[in-house]
Amino acid sequence: MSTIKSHQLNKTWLAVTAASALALTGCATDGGKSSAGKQRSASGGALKIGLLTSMSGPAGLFGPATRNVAELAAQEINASGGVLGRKVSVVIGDDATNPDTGRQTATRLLNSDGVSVLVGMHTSATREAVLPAARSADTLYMYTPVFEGGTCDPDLFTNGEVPSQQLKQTIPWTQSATGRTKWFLLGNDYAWGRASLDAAKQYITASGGEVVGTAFVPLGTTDFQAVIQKIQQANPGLLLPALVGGDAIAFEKQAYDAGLGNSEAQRLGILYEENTLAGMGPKVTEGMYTSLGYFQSLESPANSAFLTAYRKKFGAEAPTVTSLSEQTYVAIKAWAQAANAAGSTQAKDVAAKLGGLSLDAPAGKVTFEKNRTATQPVYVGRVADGAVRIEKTFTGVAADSKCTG
Amino acid sequence: MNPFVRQLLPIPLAAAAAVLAGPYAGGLLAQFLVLGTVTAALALTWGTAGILNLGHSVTFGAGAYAGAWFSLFAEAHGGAYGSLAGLGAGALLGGVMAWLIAAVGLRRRLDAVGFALVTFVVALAAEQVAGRWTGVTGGFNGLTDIPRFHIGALSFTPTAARGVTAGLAVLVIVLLASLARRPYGVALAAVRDNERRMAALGYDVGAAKTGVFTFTGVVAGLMGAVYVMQVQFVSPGLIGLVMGTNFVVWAMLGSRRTVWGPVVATLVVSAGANLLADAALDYWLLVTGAAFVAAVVLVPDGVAVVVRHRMPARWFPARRVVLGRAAPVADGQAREGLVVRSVGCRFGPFTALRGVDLDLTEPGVHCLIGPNGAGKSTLLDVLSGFTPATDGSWRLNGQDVTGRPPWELTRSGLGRKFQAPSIAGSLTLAENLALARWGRTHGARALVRQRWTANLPPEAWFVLDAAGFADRMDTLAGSLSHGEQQLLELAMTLTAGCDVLLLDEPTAGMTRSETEQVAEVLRGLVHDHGLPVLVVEHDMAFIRSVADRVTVLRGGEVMATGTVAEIESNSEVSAVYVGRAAGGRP
Amino acid sequence: MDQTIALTLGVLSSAAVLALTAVGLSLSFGLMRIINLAHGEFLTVGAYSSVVTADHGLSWGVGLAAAAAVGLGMGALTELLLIRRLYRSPELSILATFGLSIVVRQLIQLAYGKDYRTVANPLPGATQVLGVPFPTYQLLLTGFAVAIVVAVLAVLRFTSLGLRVRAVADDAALSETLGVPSTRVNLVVFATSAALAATAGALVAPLTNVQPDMGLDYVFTAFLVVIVAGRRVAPVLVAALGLAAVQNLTTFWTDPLLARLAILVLAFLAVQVRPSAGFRVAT
Repeated sequence: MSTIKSHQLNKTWLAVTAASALALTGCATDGGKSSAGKQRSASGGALKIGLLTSMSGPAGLFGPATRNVAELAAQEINASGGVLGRKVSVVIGDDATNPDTGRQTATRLLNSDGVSVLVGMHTSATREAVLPAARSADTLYMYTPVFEGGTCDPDLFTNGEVPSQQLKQTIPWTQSATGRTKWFLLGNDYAWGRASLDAAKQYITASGGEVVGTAFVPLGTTDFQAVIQKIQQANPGLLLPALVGGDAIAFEKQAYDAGLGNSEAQRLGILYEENTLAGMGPKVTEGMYTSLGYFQSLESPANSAFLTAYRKKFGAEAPTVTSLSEQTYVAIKAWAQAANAAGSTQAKDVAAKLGGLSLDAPAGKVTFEKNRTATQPVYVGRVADGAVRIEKTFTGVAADSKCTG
Repeated sequence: MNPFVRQLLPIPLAAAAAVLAGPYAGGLLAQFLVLGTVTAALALTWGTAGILNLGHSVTFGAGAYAGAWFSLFAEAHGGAYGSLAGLGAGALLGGVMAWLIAAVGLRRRLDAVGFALVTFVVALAAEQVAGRWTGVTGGFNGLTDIPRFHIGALSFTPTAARGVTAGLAVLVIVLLASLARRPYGVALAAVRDNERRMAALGYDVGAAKTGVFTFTGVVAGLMGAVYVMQVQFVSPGLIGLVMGTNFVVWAMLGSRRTVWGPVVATLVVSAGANLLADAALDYWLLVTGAAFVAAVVLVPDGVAVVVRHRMPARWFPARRVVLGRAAPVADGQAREGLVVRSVGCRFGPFTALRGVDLDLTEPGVHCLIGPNGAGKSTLLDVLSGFTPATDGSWRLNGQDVTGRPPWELTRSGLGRKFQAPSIAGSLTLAENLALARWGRTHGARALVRQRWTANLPPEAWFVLDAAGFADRMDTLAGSLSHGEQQLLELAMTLTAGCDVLLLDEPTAGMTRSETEQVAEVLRGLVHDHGLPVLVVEHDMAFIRSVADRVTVLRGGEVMATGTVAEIESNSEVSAVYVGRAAGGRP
Repeated sequence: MDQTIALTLGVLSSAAVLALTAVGLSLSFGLMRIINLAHGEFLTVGAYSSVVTADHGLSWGVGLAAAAAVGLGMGALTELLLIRRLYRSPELSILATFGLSIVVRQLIQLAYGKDYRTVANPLPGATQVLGVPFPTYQLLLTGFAVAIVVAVLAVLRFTSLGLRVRAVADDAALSETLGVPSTRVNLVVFATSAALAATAGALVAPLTNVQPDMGLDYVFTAFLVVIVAGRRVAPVLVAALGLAAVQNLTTFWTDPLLARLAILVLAFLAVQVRPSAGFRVAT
């Protein structure tokens, strides 16, 4: 049958509309129960922490560890009395590394599950999509991964490392550690890559260095042949790759083969976390610098307690904890402290207490500022035999921000 | 219930559902309904015109960006009509982009898959551009905090806004569904099934396809703008290939040959994925993927078609087409017939036709014979515009019509019937005839307005009465016998209204009695309706019974012309052809 | 001079990767008109085959053979269970292979996790070509690409199997009447297409990150090659070379983003200007 006889489908359609409307209203009723649950929880049920992260899609690699640390954080909070005397539980949502999906999922967490706080570990694009939803639900939104910075929203706290934290002191340090000053900047073409390299350029110029070339590649690039030749032609002593995950691995493997390894151009990675480094292999990564707010190899009582608890709960083979996940853990712990201090889970009350709150995180001392950024330590690691050795520690590094408290 | 009210009923229902279902479910319902509308628009071009578009997201996304940009711009500059400007700009931009894509792809006569690849490239490029053009599109992060729909000082609460969005989406769906079942939509479906036939009936096939593609671009662009005002953000994902693939997948799941099917599929898949992601975080994608695979295997025609088959037949009454009798044309316009002068046609080094002269100026049956490969069908294809001539000219009713496209030739009065019957088998006889009637007279707009009534000219009724079709008008044309299909197609060709008739082997595959019936019909057409008819034939018995004149083609050239007796007594002709064929079909 | 040589070698090795990833697609798409959105996942499966064999301490060559074998089996299975039902409507292949690609990705993820896996370069180091050092492994890839495309072409041109494949591609119904079993030919073609994809996956694995989504990054460019090449296999090499040249030289002299747009424009133009376009409706 090839004809369109859709008017004949009208009755079918009515039936189906009714059915889907019922189904959706069903969800609504479900949602109603949840918000009833939210109210009930006011008198003793568990408080829900909404975790929006990428369990699938290109950023899906970081999802499992993030989910784990969130559950660990919740367990620890409950062990020390919960929030406002109530237990907390984590509700997790997947954004599939897609902002549109992320917004839908966030709406579910906010409206249907009625979470008390939304914790996000996903791309910036998803954050922008989710923000209006979080705002209209009047729920505090804590965005945790490394990102480009520059957000100024009263309902949004960010504690991920921003370029100013990762680079301002690190760039001059790298120049003096290596005695080199000629930089090539290579980034993925999107908000974070661009903002990071813009910031880098500024710090390089300020510290007497020189940028001999810049290139941006689209996300998902697999062939770096020509980019490598372009870099070789510029002949830099230092290379700052603002590349994410798979792109970083493809680039470094091909660059190493083509004679542009770390020994030719010293790397200063800003998202070269443990997974990505492992993907490149120990030969390729030998000697690279990487700058982030947390590495698993940090030697501090807080970190070893954290890792011991993590492995105890999820096993020795559990997904690697990286800076991206650790920041999520910190955000949840900070929220619980602030909510307890405020005696409320209302966004405004918690935000007021969160500004100025300090805690002893696995990474070191982290302070949530009144301008809703986090002042935190920044580490420069050097890779040796595939492991990150901390080479330099900058403590209490504040994020440049135009936002006011 | 009044059919008009019944059609419009889903609009308030959807709006009410979106309002009553609360901010979460209601918001999603509104959002998914908008996506469903866009999918339905895709299904309209795909299911009717047969255009597979992997880049439907480009028009949708362009509209979304336009809607977002104008809304934000107006907000920043204190303008009160940003939403309206956004909707207008979205529709306009969607339409312009669709028109450009169609102009580039369809003009090149690409097949469905070739065209799909053009749209594939366009979608990839659009995502790149949207991601890079930060000043306008906000780059990778996109644009956020887009104001909700408002008009001047009248701004809707979130609750009212999702009701408006849902109602608007369903309104557009109702319009699309209505369009699809009007003559316009059915004519497009017939174009998909047989492009040549529709061109021969006088339809400007290229314009029809470009038109419907542009129109659905307008719809997608408009709904893109509606979408951003509902969800309040836009990012390159909306314009890229992933979104484009989603639309195609939803349309296919729902059945691209209906309008409501794709809408329901969009709703069910989107809501389902949402619920599933909640219920089984680690397995939802796996289940979704498996469901798609299962759908292809179990319901390849789409769910809507399957659902329809399980419904009581009385829910789907056949369309009532009223056919009347048009008064005989007494236009007094001179019918000068067809005059062909030294027509030639070469394919590279191969000469198919050379210096062909032919006069079809008087009523009568003129038979064209010749051995296989003599160029008979090529001549018909050239004269009716399907194959370009490389030489010569031909005049129809005194007008030079050399090199005109098929549909223009039909509109000038040239009727063409193909060798293999090419009726639309899924339509009834009456629907086929009605479409044939409108080809010559109706443009797209007229087809949209046209009701299912048509007045057929007397010569068409002559054939229909002779074939005994008058009381079988509501049967499907596909259920006719081969001979009957030939007669139906002849009637359709006459329905378009022609001054000269070109028939390619009208008796091919017919029984003896059917052949005799055709002969009778042809004689009647000549004597009662005064038509000049050119017939390509092999069957000498048939030729003897109908032909007034005979032209013999050989090697692309006219070898002889004369009465049957003259040709049969022509020794040269009998040597190459008649002698061999005299006993029947060669 | 050295730079010219280096750039040329770069273009050649980039073209090699493009051709390797696209040649399988040109079989399924060009010959069978199947739009196989799961082509990238066949490639991923090949890459994981080489990872798994390497984990078991087997050599690189074994990994390559394993990838080809796994790809062949998977392709045959897909054809038998799924693609076979779709020949009457190639458009349905979009939905089917889209679903399949999700399923395969998720299954790989369930089996091997989301972590980046790494395959050691079997031929590290560089070789001097006309005085310019170039990664040995990428030279090898270039050879592989040419060899594989030539082998496929040779089978198509000079064997009776190739004759049957071409006959079915031209007109399946007609070939059936001439006694060519089109279902069996299609099975062979599709399985080969998958095997070629998997082989390509194993070949590029040492150059890139191996993870469940890796195929997505390759499948788009593979489609571009096929779009430029049209419906035939031979132009795949030319198309890959053209795209690689435009991409690499634009990258080198301007920037990689313009390069991405430039190859899209090239693909677009190719569809427009190809004189006997493989995609046109024959009238």
